[in-house]
Amino acid sequence: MNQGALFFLTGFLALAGSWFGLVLVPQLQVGRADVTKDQYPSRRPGLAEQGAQVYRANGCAACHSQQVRQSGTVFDLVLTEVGTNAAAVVAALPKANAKLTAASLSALPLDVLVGVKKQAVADAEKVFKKTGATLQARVRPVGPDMERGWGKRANVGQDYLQDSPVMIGSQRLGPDLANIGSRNADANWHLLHLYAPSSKVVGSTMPAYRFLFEKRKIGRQPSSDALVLEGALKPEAGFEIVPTDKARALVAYLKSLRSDAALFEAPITVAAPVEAAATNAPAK
Amino acid sequence: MPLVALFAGASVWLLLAAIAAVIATLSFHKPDMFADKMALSYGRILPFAKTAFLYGFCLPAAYGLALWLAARLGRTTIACGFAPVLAAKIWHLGVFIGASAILCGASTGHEGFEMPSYAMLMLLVAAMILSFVGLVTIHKRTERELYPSLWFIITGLFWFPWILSTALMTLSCSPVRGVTQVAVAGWYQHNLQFVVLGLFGIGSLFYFIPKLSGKDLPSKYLALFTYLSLTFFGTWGGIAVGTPLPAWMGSICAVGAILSIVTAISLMENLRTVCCVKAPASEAKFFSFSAGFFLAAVVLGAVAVLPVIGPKLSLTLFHTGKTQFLIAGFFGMIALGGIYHVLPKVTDIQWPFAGFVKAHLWLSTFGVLLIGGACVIGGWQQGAKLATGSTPFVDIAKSTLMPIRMATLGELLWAIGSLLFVVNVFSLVYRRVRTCMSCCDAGGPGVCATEVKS
Repeated sequence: MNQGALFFLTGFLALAGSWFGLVLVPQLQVGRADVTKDQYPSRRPGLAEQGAQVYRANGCAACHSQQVRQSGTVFDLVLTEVGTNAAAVVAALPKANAKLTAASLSALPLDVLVGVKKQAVADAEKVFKKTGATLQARVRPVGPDMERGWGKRANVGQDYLQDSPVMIGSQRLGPDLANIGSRNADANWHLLHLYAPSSKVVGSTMPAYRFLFEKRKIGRQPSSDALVLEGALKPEAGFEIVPTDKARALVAYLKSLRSDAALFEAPITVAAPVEAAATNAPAK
Repeated sequence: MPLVALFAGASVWLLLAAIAAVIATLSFHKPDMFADKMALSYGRILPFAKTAFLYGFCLPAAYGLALWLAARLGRTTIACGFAPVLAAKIWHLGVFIGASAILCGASTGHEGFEMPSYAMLMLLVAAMILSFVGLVTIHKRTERELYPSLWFIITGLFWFPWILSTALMTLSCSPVRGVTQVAVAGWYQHNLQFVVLGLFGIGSLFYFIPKLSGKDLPSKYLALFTYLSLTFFGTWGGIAVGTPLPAWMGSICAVGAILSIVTAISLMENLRTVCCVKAPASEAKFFSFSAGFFLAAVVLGAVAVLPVIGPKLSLTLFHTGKTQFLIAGFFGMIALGGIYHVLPKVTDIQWPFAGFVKAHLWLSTFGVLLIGGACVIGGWQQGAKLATGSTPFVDIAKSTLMPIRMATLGELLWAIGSLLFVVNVFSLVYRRVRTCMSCCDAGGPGVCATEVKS
């Protein structure tokens, strides 16, 4: 066994192979990705950007992942308009879905097929093609994460382009936060939750982050930012609990966390934007 | 003596890491416990504990054992005089700065690479000096044939500065864009924990186990197979299937994890007949148990990437348990056994409290089993619940409390063992200082004072 040099050359090649494969190649493949044509993902607002640093400094990623996963996609077929040939549509309905009858057409949009494979949707579309009805096929990712409402689709590399450091986490001792901003955009809720998690989520195991808040004497008049606390959490008379800049930044960051844009690599049908109202009346 | 500098510092970090790990799990007993203590909040104390253990204890111990084995197996002395002592000081100072920075909120946010760049830079400098010293020591050996341990050690001496500099460049100095950071961080973490510690650890096992049982290593060719399979298959890992990265990366890492089983099997097969579990030396059991923990960690790692089970287990405590078996069970035990073996030899002083060694063995073994076992079982249940979308999340979160509370008990056992270890190490160093002082007083050849400082 006196071929020491040969061993080390082999070992060196093995190590170099791993370096090329898992460091250099990903850099070439995804390292130069850029925002999409419609500017997704957009840069976070300044306060949220500061909040990302609070998230990093306090190691929130130790318990919270930011990566929604999906186990697959299903398709829905929705009938939005009957068109002019209602009789043909009625005739076609049972062919597409045996449970549907003429009476189903009374309420539009009508779910013709729900949660089926791509081929089933294509077949049903053929049935309706000559009837002149307007149908919409919708892509819907599924999986436990979607069922739990953590996101509409799985996260892909594109979602993290504006993050540095990227903190996708490796642990779900707490819920996934990739879409917390679209799930719950109530800043006040988040502040109260950070101050006393179990006051907002019964049975929460999250530690309280009271060091992100300041207890101070009420001045001439109470601060408008002071937390509205109940029961045992209420500070003694003459004092109030006010979020620090860090708490405010962290909440701004949490509110900015959302990854629901439709992407080529993560297809999803996004609800069409509601047409702007023609009057100046406030939206309902 | 560089070894005393490396090992004594390592023992302090071992104790600090153990205490911090106990504190970290306390948050799961009472969530409000550290609500007003910023530095003790879970997200800061946990990375501190991991950093202190991995960078403070494991790596200095790995370098110490590597230098000692290089000198021992080459029948020479550690080269470069004062340089390795200096490197040990730089290293421990770097860990001190970096770990304190994590508590102050300067963590990088990359798991397994939390220390900020200025601390990591000190570690890189120290690692390069130590690696250089190790290679020079091997170069000037008088015993020309390279024993298998040295193949592993030489490769480890190369690979650690390589991955550390890569991570430093691509994560801290000029961060790469988007998820590429995740790829590099995962690759670095896996290569550090599995390959670098694996190379140093297996290299040590190939020396200590046959040595303590008084037999010869059965097969050098099988050792070569272990070496090649570790470097070829083991290095591909760290990225879970389902991570938002190109799918081939997760798949290839899964293949690497499954093929790593052959590394563990070849190691076990080679050491089976020379098993030192019944050897008289009190440190012998540390090595035999560590080989068992290695097998457990590799098998769990392979289970975690299986097609149907793997996706359920990712993002759960299962990985925490697996890592515990790998770092504390496999490498930690080797490092402890190694230090118990080496320090009396280099200082010429027996362990002041010989009984502590045995107590430490059982405390640490049961500690690791309790932490790792609780996390593996708890993680399995957590994964099954996460995979059922109708289970409310609060129920899942509550079900993770029990395994983490069990882990507190394990961490406590480990911490008590660490305390015994530190007491033993520092009593030994103290005795060494006294003998050294008395021989200085007698006008004998003085030993420089640096050898006693950690």
